[in-house]
Amino acid sequence: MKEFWSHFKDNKGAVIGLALVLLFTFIAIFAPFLAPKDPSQIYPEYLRLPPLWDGGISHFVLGTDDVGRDLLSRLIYGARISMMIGFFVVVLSLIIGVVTGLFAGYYGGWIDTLIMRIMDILMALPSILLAIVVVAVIGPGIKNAIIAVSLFSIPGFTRIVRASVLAEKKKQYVMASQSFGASSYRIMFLEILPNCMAPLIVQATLGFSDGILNAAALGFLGLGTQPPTPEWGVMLSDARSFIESSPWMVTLPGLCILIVVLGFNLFGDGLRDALDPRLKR
Amino acid sequence: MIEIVDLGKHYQLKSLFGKAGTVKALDGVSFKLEKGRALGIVGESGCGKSTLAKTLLGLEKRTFGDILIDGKSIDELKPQDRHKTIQMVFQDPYSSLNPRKKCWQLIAEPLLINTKLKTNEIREKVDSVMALVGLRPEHAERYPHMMSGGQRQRIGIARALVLDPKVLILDEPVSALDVSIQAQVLNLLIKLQDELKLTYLFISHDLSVVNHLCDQIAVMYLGKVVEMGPRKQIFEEAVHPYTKALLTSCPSLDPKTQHTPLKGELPSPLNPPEGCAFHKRCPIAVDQCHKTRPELKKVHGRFTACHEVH
Amino acid sequence: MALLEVKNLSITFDTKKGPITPVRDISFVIEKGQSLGVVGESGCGKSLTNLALMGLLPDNATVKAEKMSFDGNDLKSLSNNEWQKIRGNRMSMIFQDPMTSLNPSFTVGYQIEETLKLHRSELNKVQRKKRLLELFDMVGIPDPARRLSQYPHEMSGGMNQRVMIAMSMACDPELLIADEPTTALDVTIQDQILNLLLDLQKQTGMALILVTHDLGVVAQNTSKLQVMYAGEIVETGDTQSLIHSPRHPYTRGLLNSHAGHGHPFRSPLPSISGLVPDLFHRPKGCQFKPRCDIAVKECELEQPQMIDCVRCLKVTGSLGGQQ
Repeated sequence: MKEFWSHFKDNKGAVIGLALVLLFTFIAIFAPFLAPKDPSQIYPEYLRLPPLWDGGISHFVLGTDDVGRDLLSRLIYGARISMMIGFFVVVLSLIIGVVTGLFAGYYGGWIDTLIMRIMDILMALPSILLAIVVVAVIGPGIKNAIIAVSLFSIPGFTRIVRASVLAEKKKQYVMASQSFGASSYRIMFLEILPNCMAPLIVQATLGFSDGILNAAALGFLGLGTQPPTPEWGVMLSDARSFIESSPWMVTLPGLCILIVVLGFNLFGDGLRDALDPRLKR
Repeated sequence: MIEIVDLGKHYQLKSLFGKAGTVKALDGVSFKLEKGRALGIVGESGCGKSTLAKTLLGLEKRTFGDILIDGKSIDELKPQDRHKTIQMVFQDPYSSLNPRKKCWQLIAEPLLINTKLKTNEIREKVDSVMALVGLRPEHAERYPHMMSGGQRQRIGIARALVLDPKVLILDEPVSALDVSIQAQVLNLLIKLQDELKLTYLFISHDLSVVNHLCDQIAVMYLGKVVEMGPRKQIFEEAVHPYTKALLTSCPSLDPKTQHTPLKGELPSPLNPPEGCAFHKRCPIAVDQCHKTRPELKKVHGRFTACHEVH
Repeated sequence: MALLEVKNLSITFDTKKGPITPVRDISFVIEKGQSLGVVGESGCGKSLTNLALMGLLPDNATVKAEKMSFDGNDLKSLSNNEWQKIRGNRMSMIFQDPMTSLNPSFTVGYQIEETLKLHRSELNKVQRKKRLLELFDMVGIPDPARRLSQYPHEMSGGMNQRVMIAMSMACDPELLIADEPTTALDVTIQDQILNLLLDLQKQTGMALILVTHDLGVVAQNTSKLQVMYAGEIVETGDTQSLIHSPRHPYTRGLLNSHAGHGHPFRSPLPSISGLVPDLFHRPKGCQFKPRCDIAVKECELEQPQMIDCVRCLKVTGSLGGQQ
């Protein structure tokens, strides 16, 4: 653990990533206490107010949107929504990905072929397009957006777990467990899975940012989260017509998406480097 | 005690165009293992010794032949009873222990799977078997990577003993260890056999180790036994040409005796030669050796499969 | 002039846990045509020494030596270019696992030809092909023309090791370093390969360093023996004399614990108690003292020097001050 931490610390990008991840997690959890106003509260006298530095007022630090809602509060609650989406997407795709990867890797044969061909199909088609199709079929909304995005994150986990299982399966400790009668389930979940943790953790971290990005894209297209929910992608979409007149309405949500995704990616890359077994003595 | 009768394991290789061939990893092996004795199985890669171990353990289903325990077929045993009868100590002390499990967890696992003992009973048993193999109580909470090769191998032995088996298969148990540690582990194995009245099937390529520990030796080549008998006879008066070649090629501490190394290489198990599997490399092969496979017959007080030995 | 001269060679690694010196002050000499066996258990530094001789240590390693010369050329201060002329050409090395030492993506013929192109650039394609066939014949690979275009995975371990040997012999080296060349091979194939190495030595007059943990292998295939422990040489001498009359307690212990050393059937084998020292926290004085059966208090105060081919205060009678 200490070794891992010292490797990780050396990578400045990774530390910045971690800081950003922690920051946004904090914001997401304590949103009701941090947001100065109710995000859906309309202030009809203050339509499209610019931020403080651009001629606005201190009451609305980052300005307001076209309906008169406080942008800062909306962004803060937006963090909560995005983090939540990311979390559920990862949890869902991880669970399904781990189970399919374990079965495909451990049993091999037709199970492996079947599972991997399904995964191939999922990966071959552009994920956003398919997310759109899925949502078009099952309907829009935040829950369905999560389902659609999770679906296309599954293959990433399956492949990683399967690769680990194939490598671990050859080791003698698996044979030893089989020799005293351990059931396949016991071996898959209790023996092999704990040894696949490192790549899984990295994939989960990167999956978080993918989830947020894809959900924002769906929100932008009106297929994911629906207004008036303050999701960053939806906010981007609403602000489209005001790009020139009120540029901050577009820029600020966009920046938020950028920073969160960047943070998770930096963190995930740092994790991958620090956990790389080749760096161990 | 244990009798192996004409045991065979064939692997069918499949390809896109149907059957691609058969690997006869084990091709009709028979021997008796008496209670309390140690039988050494000696041979090089591809001789079938690992397949023999796996088939006895039940990790592989045999293709033909039978395994009898005290006269009864092994199939009549429930899996749990089978595990309580035969256990194995694996070769590699590094990969045969799950790196994520602590020492006591590794040893306790067979008990968790095969018995209904309560946690404290399990812990007691683990503690007692750890003491038996020379591990100290403080080792219980350690992970394998914190322990030396010799200690890890002791964990492997403890794990194999925890179900009180009668037969222990030892697959190259000391080959991966340094010489000075090999001696310690061999001493432990001999002590355990004497104390617990175990029966050993000792698989190794190291003839000096086998000579030190086993009273009977069987030499295998390409899935068959080519010579088998009491230790002294095999070592000092081997008659099968392969056994003789094996003995001369084993480097000993004395100066080299002038000899020609055995020529050629192990034939592909997919395409074993007709007749005697050894004839292409054999210095004394004759016509008959190309045509018919020699059977194991009793000659000079031991069993040999060779046409040229009478 | 000796072919290889090493004096007080030390290798230090700079690691996150601090500096570690796995090889400390070793000195030895190899004459032309001599065969030296280097024996020791894991972690004794024998493989690292070989890598230092070939200039193949990683960047975080520092090599210090009073002298390290090959045929008069100082190896310590060679530039990369100068190393290229010696490595693979006049000094070659073969490794333990032929399956991983050969590149799986190229045919074996191509890989050996690369060596020839590099060091024998005066040969043309036809001459190179001829040399390749010669080499395969020399190392006993049957049907050489067909084998040249095969990939490593199409051949057995023994065959691959012969290919490695052919590659290292391609430029008629004066010194061949063999690092555990037969450990991964079956015993009858090991016999063939060791025989081959000795034959090649006789034919070409090259010197051979044979590094292994297997005492039997060095006993039968080398004329001079060097025993290493915890990064130091503890005893050297004529192989058979050393084996039959070892002087250093470690050598004695190693030979005694060998199962083939004439012990009665199933009698407890003598073993060396304890473990090799943690190289990050080396014991003071003699590295072997914690495990030694004849050690006295002085052994942990003074570091023994190599005197009369043994590094031991008691055996050389140097207790109470060096002679």
